Amino acid sequence: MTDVLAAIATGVGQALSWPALGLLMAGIAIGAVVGLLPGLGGTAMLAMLLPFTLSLDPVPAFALLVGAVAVLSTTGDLSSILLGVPGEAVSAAVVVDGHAMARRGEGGRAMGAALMSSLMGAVFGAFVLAAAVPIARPLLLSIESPELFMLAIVGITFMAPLVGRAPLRGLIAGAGGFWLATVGLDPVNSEPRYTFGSLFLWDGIGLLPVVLGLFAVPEAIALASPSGQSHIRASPRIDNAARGVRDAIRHWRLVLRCSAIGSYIGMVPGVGGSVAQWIAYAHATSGRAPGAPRGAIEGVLGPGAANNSTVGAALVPTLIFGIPGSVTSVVLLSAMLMKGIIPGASVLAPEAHGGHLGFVFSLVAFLVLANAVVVAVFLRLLAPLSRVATVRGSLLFPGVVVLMFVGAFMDKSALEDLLVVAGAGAIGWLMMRLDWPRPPLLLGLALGPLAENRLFLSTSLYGWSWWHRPGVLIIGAMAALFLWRGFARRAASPPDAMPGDPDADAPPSAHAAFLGALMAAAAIALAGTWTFTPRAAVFPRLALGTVLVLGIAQAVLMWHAPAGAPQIAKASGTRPSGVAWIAAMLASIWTLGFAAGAPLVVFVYLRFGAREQWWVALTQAFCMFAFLYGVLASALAVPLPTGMLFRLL
Amino acid sequence: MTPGRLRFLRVFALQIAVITAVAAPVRADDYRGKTLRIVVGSSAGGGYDREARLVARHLSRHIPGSPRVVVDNVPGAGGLIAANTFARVTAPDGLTLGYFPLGVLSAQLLGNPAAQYDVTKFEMIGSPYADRTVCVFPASTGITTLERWRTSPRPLKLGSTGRDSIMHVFPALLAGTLGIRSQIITGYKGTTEVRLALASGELDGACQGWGGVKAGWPDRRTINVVVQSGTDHHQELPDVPIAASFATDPDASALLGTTTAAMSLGARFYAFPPGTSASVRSTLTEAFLATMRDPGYAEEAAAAGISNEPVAGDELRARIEALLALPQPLITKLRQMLAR
Repeated sequence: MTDVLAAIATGVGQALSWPALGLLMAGIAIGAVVGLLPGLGGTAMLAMLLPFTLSLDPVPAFALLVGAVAVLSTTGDLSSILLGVPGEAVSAAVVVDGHAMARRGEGGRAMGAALMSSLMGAVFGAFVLAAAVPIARPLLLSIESPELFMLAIVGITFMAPLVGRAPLRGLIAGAGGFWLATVGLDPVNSEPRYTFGSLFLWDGIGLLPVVLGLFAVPEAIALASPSGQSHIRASPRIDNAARGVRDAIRHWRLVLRCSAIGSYIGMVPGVGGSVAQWIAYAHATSGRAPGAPRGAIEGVLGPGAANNSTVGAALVPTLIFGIPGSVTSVVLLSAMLMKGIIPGASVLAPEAHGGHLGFVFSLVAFLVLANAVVVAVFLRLLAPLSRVATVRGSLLFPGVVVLMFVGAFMDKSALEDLLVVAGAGAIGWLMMRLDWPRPPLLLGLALGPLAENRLFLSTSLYGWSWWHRPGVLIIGAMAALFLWRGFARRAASPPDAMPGDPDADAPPSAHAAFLGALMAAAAIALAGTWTFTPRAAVFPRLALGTVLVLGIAQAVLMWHAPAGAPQIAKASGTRPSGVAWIAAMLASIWTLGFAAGAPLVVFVYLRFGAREQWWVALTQAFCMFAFLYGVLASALAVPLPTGMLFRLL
Repeated sequence: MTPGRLRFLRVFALQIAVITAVAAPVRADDYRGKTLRIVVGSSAGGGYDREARLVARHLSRHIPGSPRVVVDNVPGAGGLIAANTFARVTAPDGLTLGYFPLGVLSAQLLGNPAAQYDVTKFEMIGSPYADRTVCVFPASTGITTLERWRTSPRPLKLGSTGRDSIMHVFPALLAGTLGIRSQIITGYKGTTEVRLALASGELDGACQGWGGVKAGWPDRRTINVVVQSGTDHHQELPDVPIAASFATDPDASALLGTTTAAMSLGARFYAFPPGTSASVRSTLTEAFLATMRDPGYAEEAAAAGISNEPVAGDELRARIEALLALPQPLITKLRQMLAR
């Protein structure tokens, strides 16, 4: 015990000593700016910072790196609120309610709430890191492949009842996500599944383009629609920031629950903040009356806390097993290895016994300090920042679309990912209109490889007897309990569509057509599994079978409870001109490349689509070119492709 | 034409001019102002990526004109996506260097139809080290020798990442040639997952690169290294028996010895696309070897546990060609062993 206390003292002491503290401030400044700017991501930033840490001792090196990482999602939330464009991918969920608040003139309150909940989330995540390190090893070593498989399943059943008002649809979407995850080479025999001879599909469907498609495309379409262009009349009142801070403190239970969600998801390797934010959003807004307008403070507090709490929690599996919990912790892991900090049991021993326990507590101190500093500074900077918010939707639309495509491309340097964004965008838009929850689909895609992998390993290792393991039974009982609670709550709430509900916007035939198309696609995909070897067919069959069985149940439900509310004439911007412009952007980037194609469509859209002034359109197009060519292609050496047209010449 | 439209056209024309100006091939002696891209056929943050980024930091100052060197990840299908792109799309202009994993070589050796390239046509630059495959068992298993492994009352469970991986190939060869049976559990995502499964007792052992073993188990007392691949003793493993020394027929000896040695060498190599000029290739080969000798590189590699025993392009190429020219009956035998 005294060992641990001594480690805390040395760790925090080293964190507060000179070179470390200065580098922490430098890291915070860099991270805050990168977080604010959409399109500049944390992973690229860390990769660029890494060389600067080579000559440093471990603690000062991680002061720079952790300082930068810790504040990314904090300032990223501010861009989400002000611009409606997430500054970081992990801040996307804050857009929904945060930007709606900014439009109502409550931007100050939303930003105050985002900053305060970020701080609380970061402290929670840091506490999880400190508390989990001593107990995580025995805990994680008691988990073998069967338990890991069950945890992946629980992820879906835990979430499905929380999002939206239709647990059954959530489960169908989750199973659909599991199926989507089987596209590509099967992990054991490298047997292609659903690849249609395309090498690109060998690698499977990436998480990032799907996140962008499901969530950013519908928001972009809304920005371009006439209702999206309404002006924000009141400039955000900055004195309201204090009110936002008080909101976060008043809703401390919610903030802590969402921090816990973020920490749990953050610890599961390979999932991280991009998923955690949406689960937290869904949880925070689950009590909301159906059809209530967007812009509730809970919708800012939930994801604001969750995306910060994942940062510390994601370091737990990184430190103990060398298995990174998130993409940014992949880079942090390589930095640790370079500094001779080998993940494993030795990390838990105090420095005197050859371990790195003090170093762990330095990390904890950095996580807390970085967010405290950035929140204190930005609470004072809100006034100049908030002037940005009085921008028309049509001016934001082209930037959002370009950043969306650039982000999708940079993930794997594959132009085909732009098509994945478009496809996921179409599905996401339909799901939004028809009130199908999108987060379970995403979570299914994220957890699918883990679930299939561990199901396969479990049966290879233990045959089917793994099913009787006590850990499996306990986790299974938990999953059943969550599901039962979800359905029970659903039964107790008023039955179906209410006026103003998105359900009522679409005619029942649209719902039936969507479900029918989904079932038909699942049936075709199921038939396709007969060409697979038996081993590769197991998981897609399980996922598709679940989709079909639950789909039939959903059809029965729809049959018995037809939409009771009167049809509402399609009121809000149903002519989605944004769709055509997104397609034009895709085609232009495809033929002319990013640097030429994107600015061209930005210009044409602004001048002829949105009827802006010449100089406005030209300036934005030029800024876009400067960003794509000057910053990405030249300064950061991102291999932006030349278009098909130039390749032919 | 309005002034605005004219201005727009000018901006557009300028964009096109700038874009076309940056893509011109290099002369061997002048990389000034250019960017050399190292394409890694696996994902960011992994072992190959870490090694390539370390090389990238030191390579520039050994190339005439000191170009900027950046690392770019093209993961997927065990490096096949990168290799296919490399062979068919990448321009042989001396500005794109590939760093490939073993899957690229074994896919061609084992006749995977998806391998749409010929490795022998790649312009080889070098390999930072020839890794040695060793089989390890945690001390708690009590498996201290190959004999204990062979006589274990139940088949021991060995972890592997994929069927083309050396983690599957080597124990399958041991079973096929020496009759040392094991239950190979294929499908772990990476060596860290295998290490975790060894710690929890889910697995009994694993065969993997010695470099990875050193990094994963800093305390050698916690594991038993029972056998190594290749034709001679690794200098750090003088007491660990060589698998080929147990072979009783020439085929088994060839498969366990020279074949595994060539596979180890082909497990990580730098190459230019087919058709790159000989002068560019020799410039980069020299720069690569100079980087390996660079004290800055050597120090960092040692700190990160990365071996530093470089092999230059020509020898690498000869060994890989010898491996791919294995007599057909041996290749058939190899495929049969791996199919089990």
